[in-house]
Amino acid sequence: MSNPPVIQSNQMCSITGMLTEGFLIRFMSKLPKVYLLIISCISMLPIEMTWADKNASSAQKSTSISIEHGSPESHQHETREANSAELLLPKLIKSVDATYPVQALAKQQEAQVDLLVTILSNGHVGEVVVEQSSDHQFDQAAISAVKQWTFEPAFQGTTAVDCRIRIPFLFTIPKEVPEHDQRAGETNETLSVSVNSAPVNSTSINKKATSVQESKKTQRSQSTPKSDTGSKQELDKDPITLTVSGHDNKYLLQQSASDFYISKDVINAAPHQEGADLLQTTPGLYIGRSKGPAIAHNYMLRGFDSEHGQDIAFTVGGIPINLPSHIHGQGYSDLGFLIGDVVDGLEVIEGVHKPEQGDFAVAGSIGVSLGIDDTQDGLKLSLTQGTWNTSKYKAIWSPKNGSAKTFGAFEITTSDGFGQNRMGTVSNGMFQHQFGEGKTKHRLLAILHSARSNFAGVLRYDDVESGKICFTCVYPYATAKAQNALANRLLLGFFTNYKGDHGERGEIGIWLSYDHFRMQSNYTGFQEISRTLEREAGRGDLIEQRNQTRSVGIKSRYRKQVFAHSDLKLFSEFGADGRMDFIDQSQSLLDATVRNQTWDQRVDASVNAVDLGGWGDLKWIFGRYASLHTGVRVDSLSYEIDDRLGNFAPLTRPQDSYITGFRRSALGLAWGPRASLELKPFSWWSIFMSYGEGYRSPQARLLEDGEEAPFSKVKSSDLGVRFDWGSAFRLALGGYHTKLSDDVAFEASEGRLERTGATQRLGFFAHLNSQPFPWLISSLSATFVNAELLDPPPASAEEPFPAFQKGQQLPFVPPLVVRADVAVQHNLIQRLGLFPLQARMGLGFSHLSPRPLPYNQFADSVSLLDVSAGLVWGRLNISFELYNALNTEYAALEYSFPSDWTPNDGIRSRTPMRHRAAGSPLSWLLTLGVSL
Amino acid sequence: MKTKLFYIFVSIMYLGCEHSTQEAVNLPIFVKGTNTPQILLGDNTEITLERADLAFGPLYLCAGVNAGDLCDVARLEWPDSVVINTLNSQAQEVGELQGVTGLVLSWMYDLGISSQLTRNEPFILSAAQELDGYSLVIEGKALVSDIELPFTVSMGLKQSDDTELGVPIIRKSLSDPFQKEVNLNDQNLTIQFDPSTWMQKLDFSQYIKHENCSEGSLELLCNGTQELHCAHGEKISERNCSDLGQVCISEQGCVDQLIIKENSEAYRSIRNSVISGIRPKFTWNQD
Repeated sequence: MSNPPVIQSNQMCSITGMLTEGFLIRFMSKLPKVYLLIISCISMLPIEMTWADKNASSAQKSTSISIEHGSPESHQHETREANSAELLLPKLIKSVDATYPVQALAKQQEAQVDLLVTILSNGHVGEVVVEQSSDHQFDQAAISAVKQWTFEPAFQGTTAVDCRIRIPFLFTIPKEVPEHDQRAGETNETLSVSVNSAPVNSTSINKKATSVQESKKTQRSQSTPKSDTGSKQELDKDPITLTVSGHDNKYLLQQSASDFYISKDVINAAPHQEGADLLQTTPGLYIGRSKGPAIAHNYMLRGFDSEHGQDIAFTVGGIPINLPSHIHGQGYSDLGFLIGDVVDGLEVIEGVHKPEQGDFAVAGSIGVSLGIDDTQDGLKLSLTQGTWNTSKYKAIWSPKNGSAKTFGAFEITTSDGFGQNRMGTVSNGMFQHQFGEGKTKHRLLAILHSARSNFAGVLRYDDVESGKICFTCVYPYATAKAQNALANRLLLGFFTNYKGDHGERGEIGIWLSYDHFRMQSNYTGFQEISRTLEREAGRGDLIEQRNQTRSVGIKSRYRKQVFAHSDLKLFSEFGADGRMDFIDQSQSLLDATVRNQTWDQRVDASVNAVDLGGWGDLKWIFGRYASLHTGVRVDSLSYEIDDRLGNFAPLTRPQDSYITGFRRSALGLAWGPRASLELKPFSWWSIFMSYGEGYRSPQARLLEDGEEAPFSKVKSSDLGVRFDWGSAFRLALGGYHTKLSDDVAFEASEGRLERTGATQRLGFFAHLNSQPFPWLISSLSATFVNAELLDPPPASAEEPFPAFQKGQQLPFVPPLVVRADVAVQHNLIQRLGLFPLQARMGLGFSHLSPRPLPYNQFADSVSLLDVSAGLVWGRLNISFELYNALNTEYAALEYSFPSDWTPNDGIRSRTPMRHRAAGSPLSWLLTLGVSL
Repeated sequence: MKTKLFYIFVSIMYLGCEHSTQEAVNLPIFVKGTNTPQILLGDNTEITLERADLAFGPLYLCAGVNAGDLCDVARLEWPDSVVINTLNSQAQEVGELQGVTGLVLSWMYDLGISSQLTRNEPFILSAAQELDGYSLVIEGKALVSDIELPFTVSMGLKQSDDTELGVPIIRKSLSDPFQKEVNLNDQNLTIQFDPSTWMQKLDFSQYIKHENCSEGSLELLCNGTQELHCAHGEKISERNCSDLGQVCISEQGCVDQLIIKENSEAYRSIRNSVISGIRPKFTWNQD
């Protein structure tokens, strides 16, 4: 394609010549602190005067907002609409920040690259020419970024025209590091460098602000006439450029090929029914809801059946989510409180190699960072309706010109659910406020969640196959219909970050958590007999589990550079975190036919637990070619257990002379080394090796008095490569080996996790993240794993036929997990009234291969396709989402165990049978949204 | 060859590398009786069985040496019931034994009446319903002291131990030899019952009396086939039951046949033999 001619045609605009630019600079520099756009088109002179707008900063917001507020831009718009001969300048719709070249980063190089960019009449970037070059790597970084930008094209009257603009990119290493949330703050020094992508300062171009607070602050300060920051000097020196902090390149933070940063673009590519579903984009992770919205998802990651979170350390906004010694599963993690709109990204560490990874980081860690990009500033309201009377009401608020990390979000969802007995309601509130200036920033986070839902539980496979019961039904007994759950959670956190002038970084925080959980579930039908009451049987195995956890925790870390000589640098970082948990829990059998009368008690206990951990990390940087992390982590875990039913003698045993109860205490230490090595032969190719030893705390109630808490010790090794050509193409390939000393798996008769002995996993993964075109973004991942039981508990007189056999494949773990997220977006109509009409389509696909189950059963494979389509027009948006678009009949969860769901036929099956909890069939949601 | 390797690779990727140590099996299950025209007891009583119908099932094969409440999870099971003519030595297929391969060390079964946790009274299964609610119905003739004694017994055999609610009534004991590694070569399982073993401890002599009227004797006596009516030690009438085609049973007089009643010694003898006497024979047929 040839370049648009300069000042030649009525249909074409171009950048001004240098003479004109020089004139303008001189002219404009006399205006009080305004930003100037060095874009000129054929009718440049009258237009440029219009651009010189005192309210230029508001151009950072969307066009619709500007117009709504009666800003000069809106007036300008109207004027131009009226004058068909006048040129309407291009507006930036989407920008991608440039990535700071790693080599340059290591050398602390700064640079400026000026690009001449042709904006096509369809809004996409056409030819890009380097007008002023600094270094090839900077040029490439700038070109790579700008090619992903999209614009609302320039208009000549009502006709979209090609346009050529000049965009300077400044690559600077600021003294002050960008703000991060807890996880980001834990990253290495590369974070202290932000890319200063410097698009033209335009009153017409809507610069998409970055998600970090500084970016907004910087923009505001520089765009404010009274600003006393250095921006003024910059303007005086070169009014054609505006320095804004770029987006952190979180890919630079990765210490292993198994570390992933899932950006908001990828997260939002496919439709998600609820906030926690965003985690589906994590490579190798499968999550499913089998028991309604009041019970945590089931997670599977890298060959770990993490049940409700026992193998994954979750944090949200820096607050740990896993609940130790929860009655329904160790490390129970209910992410039902997440509101997807305020999730800024996922920081995924698969495996164990970073010292800050503590309890439950067995398969890995997932940090959910919170924030709203400033295209979402203001108040957004949406209403969703869908199948099965599903209604969702949502309000998202973020202060205009405020921090990206300040927001409020509220959401209520109600649904009858598919099939029978699945009605539920969820209400969530998430509020975060970031404040402070200079080196110290503070962040206050509050989350409140409440959910209640019924669920149908599991059905025997043979009952469904024989037509005895439909797949989405519930057994026609009161004990089955009474299955439901209630969850309430409050999370509060206060964090302070410090960033020194020389790369020092510190963080200290305190958090509080209150969690209340109650569930009634029946897995086995009618198999239980009371151990407390005489001859009490057949009242239904409706297990009631109650758990209440009050937690308080602290966290702190500090990092500084301790040595630098030539290309060799050494950074040290130390941290400490701790938590106290006060847990009350019980488990009983209820008779649903007699107003939930209790007919047996199985658990009645209190646990006080303390986990105190400390860690240190040394990072060696050997020029641009290698970096090495070496660290260690030590944790002390103590427990005091009041098992009020301990020593209880069932009726069948002779009664001794004692008072029921078993109080005990235990303490243990867990420590392990962590190390990772990155070799970087080329800027686009890295080789990673990592090793770490982590742990999972024990289920306290299983401990004996004085026992050195038998922590599940994990040894995790990773080897992989990463190819990185910016956001256009990122490919990670690798393999891993994980050995766990003491694993647990779900046991149906008790409805909780039981020990299964040592396990190991050998796996391979591939993850491709690409955005080859501005309108297309995709993420593809595949993980294969061979997971096996090494040392399950042997057969015993009490359990002669154990569910787990030595050498067998690890139950519940799918050998192959595939996930794809794809989104395309495009302007359907460049101008419909005042705004363009933008269309967007998304697709999410998940596949699980057949999973082995206990007792030699296999669960069917699962393939799910979700698709969405939406339109955005000004402040209004509408979207239509289809979930399970292929209407696959699948099991969200499968187990294998004996059950008796035929209380009246007189024959009890004792052989294990597949049990399945139905997954949701085809459903749709229609959402209408408005931005105020 | 390359194609085969490709499929193997794809299979491994899809299903994983390891094979399970257990394989699902569905084995046809056959039951049969034993043709026993005559049973000679220790007291030279000859028994000829004309009917020996047994309600059988469900059946569980367990991995542990102890069945019962330590067999909550069975390796194989036949969750059904059927009436077996235990006098017929011809095997009849009654269904499939379902489960997985592996070692079984014990078994347990019910006889058409099954105790369950879902209610206090046991269930009468279809097989027992065919036998009017009984587990076992035996009819035959015993030749006692040259007197032919027709008899019948109907037994409902059910779990009555409160502490074993929900546990099948008949279980392998520790002393019973039983061990089987069930594998994919097994073709079927045949269970054979021998009703003669149930009769071995019967004592029919108690029913055939040779008595005469005397001071203090009962009013109704049997003297072989003669029915005697006594009053004050004197015989006041008599009749020969055989003339009526009947037998004379002590305390009952002339009756068509002996009905062995619950709580009688004979009843208990048969019951004990069925529940804990000589075990049925388990035969595994392989390729």
